[in-house]
Amino acid sequence: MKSFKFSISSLLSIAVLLVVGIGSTISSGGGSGGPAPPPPSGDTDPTLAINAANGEDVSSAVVTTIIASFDLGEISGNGPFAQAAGPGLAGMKALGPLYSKFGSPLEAVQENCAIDGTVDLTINIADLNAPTVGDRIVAVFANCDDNLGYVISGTVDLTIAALQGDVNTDVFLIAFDTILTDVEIIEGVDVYTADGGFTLTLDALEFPVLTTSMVGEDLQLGSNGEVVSLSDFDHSLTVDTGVVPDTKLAEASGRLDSNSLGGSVDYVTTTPLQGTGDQDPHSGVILITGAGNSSVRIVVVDSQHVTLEIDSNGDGVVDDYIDTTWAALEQQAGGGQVSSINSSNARTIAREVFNGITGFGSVAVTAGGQFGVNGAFDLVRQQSLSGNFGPLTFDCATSGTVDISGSIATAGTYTSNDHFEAFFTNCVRGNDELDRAMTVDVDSFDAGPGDAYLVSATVTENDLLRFFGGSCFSGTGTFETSYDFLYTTANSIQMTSSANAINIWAGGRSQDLAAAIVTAQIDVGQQPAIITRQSSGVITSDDLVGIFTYESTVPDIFVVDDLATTGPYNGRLLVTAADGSTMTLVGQDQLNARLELDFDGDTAVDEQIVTTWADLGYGNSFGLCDQ
Amino acid sequence: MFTSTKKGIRQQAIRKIALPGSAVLALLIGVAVYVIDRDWASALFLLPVAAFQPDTSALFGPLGQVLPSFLHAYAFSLLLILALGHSRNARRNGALTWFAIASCLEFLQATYFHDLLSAPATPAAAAVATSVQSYVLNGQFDPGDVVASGLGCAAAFAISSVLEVTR
Repeated sequence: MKSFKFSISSLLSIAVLLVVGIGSTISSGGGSGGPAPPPPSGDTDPTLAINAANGEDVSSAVVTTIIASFDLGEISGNGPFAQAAGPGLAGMKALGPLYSKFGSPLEAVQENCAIDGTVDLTINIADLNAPTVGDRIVAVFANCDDNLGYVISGTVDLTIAALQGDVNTDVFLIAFDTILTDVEIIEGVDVYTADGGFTLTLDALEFPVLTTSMVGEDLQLGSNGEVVSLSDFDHSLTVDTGVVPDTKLAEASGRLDSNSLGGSVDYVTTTPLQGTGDQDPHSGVILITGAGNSSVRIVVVDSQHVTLEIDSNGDGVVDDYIDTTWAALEQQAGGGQVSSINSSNARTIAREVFNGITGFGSVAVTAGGQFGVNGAFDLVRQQSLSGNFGPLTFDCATSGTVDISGSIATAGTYTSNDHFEAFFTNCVRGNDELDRAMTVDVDSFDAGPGDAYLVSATVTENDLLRFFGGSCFSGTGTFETSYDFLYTTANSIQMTSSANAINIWAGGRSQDLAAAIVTAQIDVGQQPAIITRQSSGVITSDDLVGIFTYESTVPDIFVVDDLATTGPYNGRLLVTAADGSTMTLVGQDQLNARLELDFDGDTAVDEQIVTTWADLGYGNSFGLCDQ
Repeated sequence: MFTSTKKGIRQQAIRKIALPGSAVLALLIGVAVYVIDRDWASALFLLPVAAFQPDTSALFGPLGQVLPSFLHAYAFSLLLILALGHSRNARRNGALTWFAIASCLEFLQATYFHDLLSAPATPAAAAVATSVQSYVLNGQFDPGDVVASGLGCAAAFAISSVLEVTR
């Protein structure tokens, strides 16, 4: 056998060659060209074709969603323990003190949040002295402000899935199986919502390097009115707190589905995003892949600038380049500009907000009303049906028809999980007319004396059109509603509805509401009836630049009369823009309203505008409220 | 005596100039394929300047898909052959060794390794690990690359054999 003999220099040459050769192969990304394969994300292909027209919007949606998920991860992990600790992983160290608050391993307590609101904590833990895998903590927040920079509502359900180290030290790992239900986080003028589940892991085993990861199959995230669905996602954020400023490394992959974008895309950080301190990432690449292998690659230039490389036809060759900024991408979801209130746009903003909240109230209250005498679902109940039924066509009380199908568990009444799908055609009951589709899933139903009832349900409307009292609105979206018809209080109907996102059309214009809540008390003991209403939420519309929050500081009170030209004779609705400017919409009397403008957010009124409800309303625009 | 000396001088010149020169030229052409035809963000060595890429073209056409693999294999096989010495065994071992390395690297881009290495990197994993991970996850296994690498290695073996022996 022949042996090889090499000098030291030859061996070094060979070694260097091998290292350089392998390194150059890796640094070139492999030999073949063409687009990189889309990231794994289930069995189906993404549905949204990416092109130059939507590339920036798609990039913005992905970037803002990733950012929102990291915020959510921090808040979810910290939330239940916020009263005892600061934000982030430090909150985990409060597990010990938190556990010591309880007197037994099975307990429910309510505590006040530091500034405002409450949190109901329910625990089911093995050992009061130490967190244990399997421990479960359910926190129900109600407008909880712990002075952490945000206000949180909704349910956070955490079960400890893994635990290493000691949470009372700096070195530990803890993983939670997390379920979020109707979570709403208000941070300044930004409103985030979340529903879904994921595993949240907080890893400090290599302290001072801290890693937060979120891995899940399905999560609905709302950001200022834009609701997206994440599936098969895996996000991680690693922060080295041992250096100043801290360094961050973020990786993310998954599928994003957005109604407003019009489909789904897959995303993956092909090169991890890296940043320092509070600055945006200074390096990294995010590849977003759409239908037909179309793609947009977000290439980070520095902590201010990014370049979008768009391959519209999926041939691997970049067709368009867009130079933009992180700030632009992060603002794109809000219309790309920071909202502001001034003399020239105040009437438009007031009109949009007033019609948005009135429209939401109108299309929401009618859902619960359908369980009343001769309402659409009452017509079904009168048939004593049970099991699956329909579609059946019913004559509406006054005129028109409604086609209904669905399922009823118990004949003659409604119970949880009863399901109705109704399609109205010129369906008139009294002075109330409905058209098109409404789907209702009953959560609970209680019948009271006489015609009284109390129903809670999940309602989905698809361009449901309602004419009532001289006004007309249509709604598209899903909301939770509770409708109390004379059940609790005689002569009073009480309704509360909330929607993560709903679209309202009126007067040929649309308003998108997010995190929207409307409560109404309708005094039917006098004629015409009197409505007392409160609203809160976030609004965007085609006629508005940016996003606005709104909140009733004094309830509206108005007479159910001619809603086309009249409005609340009382009430104050505070509207806040992203730049801090505000407007208060004040009801002076049934015909007139006043806008109090505060341009600098110092609470002093800088300008007043007197207007009329007729000027602000769309109610008299029959024929235009339809999409 | 003179003939063999002249032959030795020629072979030395070939070893010192022609063969390394052809390897370097091959590498330069390969780089040109990336610079002219490819998306800079898809190649780690061009990533720092990816944001400044002018419009891509298709100068090398379909050939540009596999040309880098061929040229890269040719260049490094040849350099390896030169480092191993001038014998038939050196030429054969150099070409085969590089073909084995190139094939392994290409197979790393197969789906199996995508799944295996899809765990997120940490700062502790350092830039090298991140680069390897990026290479594996972003690349796509292509049998054409394996064939091109084989042809490159074979070409290196053949060229070095022809130039070193026949002349």
